[in-house]
Amino acid sequence: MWSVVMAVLYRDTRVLKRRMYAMISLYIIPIIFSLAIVYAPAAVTSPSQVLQRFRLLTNLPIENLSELLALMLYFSSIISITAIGTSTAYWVAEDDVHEVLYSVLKYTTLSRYVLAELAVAPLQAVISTIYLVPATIPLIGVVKSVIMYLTYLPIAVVAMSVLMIYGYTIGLLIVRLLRTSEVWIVSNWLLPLILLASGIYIPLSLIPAVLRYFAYTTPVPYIMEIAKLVLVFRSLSTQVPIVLFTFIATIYVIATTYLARSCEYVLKREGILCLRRM
Amino acid sequence: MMDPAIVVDKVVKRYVVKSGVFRRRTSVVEALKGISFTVDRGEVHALLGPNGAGKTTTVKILATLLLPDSGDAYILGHSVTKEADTVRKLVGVVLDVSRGFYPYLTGYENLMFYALLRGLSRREAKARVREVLELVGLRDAANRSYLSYSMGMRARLSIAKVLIDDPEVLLLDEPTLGLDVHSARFVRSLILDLAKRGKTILVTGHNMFEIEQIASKITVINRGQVVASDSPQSLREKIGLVHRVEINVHALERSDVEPLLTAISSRLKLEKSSVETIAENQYRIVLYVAGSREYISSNVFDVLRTYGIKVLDVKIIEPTLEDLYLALVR
Repeated sequence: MWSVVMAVLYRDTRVLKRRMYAMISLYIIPIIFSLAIVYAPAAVTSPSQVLQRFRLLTNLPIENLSELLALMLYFSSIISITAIGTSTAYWVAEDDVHEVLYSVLKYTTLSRYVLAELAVAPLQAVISTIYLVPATIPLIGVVKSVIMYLTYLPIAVVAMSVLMIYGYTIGLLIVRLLRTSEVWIVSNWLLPLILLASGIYIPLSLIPAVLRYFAYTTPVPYIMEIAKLVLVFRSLSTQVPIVLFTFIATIYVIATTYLARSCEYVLKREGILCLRRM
Repeated sequence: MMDPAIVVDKVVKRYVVKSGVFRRRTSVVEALKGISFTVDRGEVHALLGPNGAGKTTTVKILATLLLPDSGDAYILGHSVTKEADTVRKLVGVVLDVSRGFYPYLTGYENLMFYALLRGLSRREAKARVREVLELVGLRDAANRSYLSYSMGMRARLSIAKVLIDDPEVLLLDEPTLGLDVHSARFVRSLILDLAKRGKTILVTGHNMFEIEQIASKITVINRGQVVASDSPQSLREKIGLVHRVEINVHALERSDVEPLLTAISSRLKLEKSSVETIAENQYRIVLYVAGSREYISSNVFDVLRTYGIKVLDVKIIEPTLEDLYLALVR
């Protein structure tokens, strides 16, 4: 297993180095969202009214507009984490586009390979959130920015890991049940749904019940809750849904391992490992 | 006698093809209908057959990338269905020379990924990767992006990837497909070089000229069944393809040549014969004879010695592998 982790880590660091420009575009989007969410209402009403509304909607003790913007930047970064973490397309692209999976399976099993992909999660988490430090310095100062980031980083790492497992689970489920390689279509639908039902911008109590139930099967609302408590209240009380979050993460890992084994068997049985169109 | 390196034993493989909007319509394609053949150790064995004959399916089953519906195959005595992990360590497979690599990584980085995946330490991986890049002649292009590689370079990198493991058995599915003459020649010489180092190589292909140059034994499959499996020479003899014999002689008159032709035809069963004038007092006797090369040559030379005619040249042209292949899959 260690050799698979090392290989995946080596490959991903090299790919990241070369594809950094593409990743940066993913980080810029949340910054624009954050600015729009705070300043658009402030432009049509007033900053104090925006603060008041946010306090009312989120129950968060926010003192000024800069603090609100810094906070929104952090919450919005979960979009980047979600986008990258749930990119089931990542491993599907390997299989379908590059077709390296048949070479990879010579050395390891699909379940080991998918789980080894998690090795890169901490690195992905740092790279996809490090921009928060320079972005929040003008708003809350150097010291607060660094402290805020260091507080947030463990959440980002855990979130990235769990979201990646979630992404692989869904991707494998699609391959297993639909026996298709077109996971891109489903993952393209999935990401906006996850974000809509994430509780990042719209409280879960305000979204339709169907979406709310869907939301609780994804890890994003739990991540949001934990991020909110850590960043705003700077405490992890007993109310934190950590137990539930851990339970769900465990189910994802078990499901991913089972599905990967099952998928590998189906791929080999039906000969679609390399002949995707059979 | 050593056990064969590869044993394919009554392997059956069917594909279920789904079609229609809801993929409810199914049809079964029988890719392999119980094929059996063996490949000896250290041999370059060619698997020939038209498109859709089942060559790639056979290679994938041997590489443990596809499960047979029934029957089994063995690599160095290990079952591909029951001991897949062991088999994977023994074989190296090249399925499609233009696939299997990350386009944004360099050739070196791609190989490093596979070397680390194989379980080599970073230091060992670096040394091994440099070694195989040198072997396939890609040392100078090692740090170029895979995207910038030509087809020939990609083919070489595919073989380099396989060689990282230093496997005892190599499975090469059309390794020279789409390559230019220079690259194809390089790959062929590489295959022969690897065979000299004791590797067992199973290679598929369509290029008969190429196969004739590298393979010591061939198995022809057609529509999922083995049509023939032997050395090209033995197959020629078994099938009894006709040899073309050309005898250039010096004679004053064309009529002087006729008794010679009659004498030969009394000893050999000629399918067809003719006499051509090639220059003044020079004639060419052309014979089409069924039989082995030895049988033809001994009889022709016996007759020539008896007649005492001035012989300028004698050629016994064997049927090409292409002739043989066409006769088998016709």
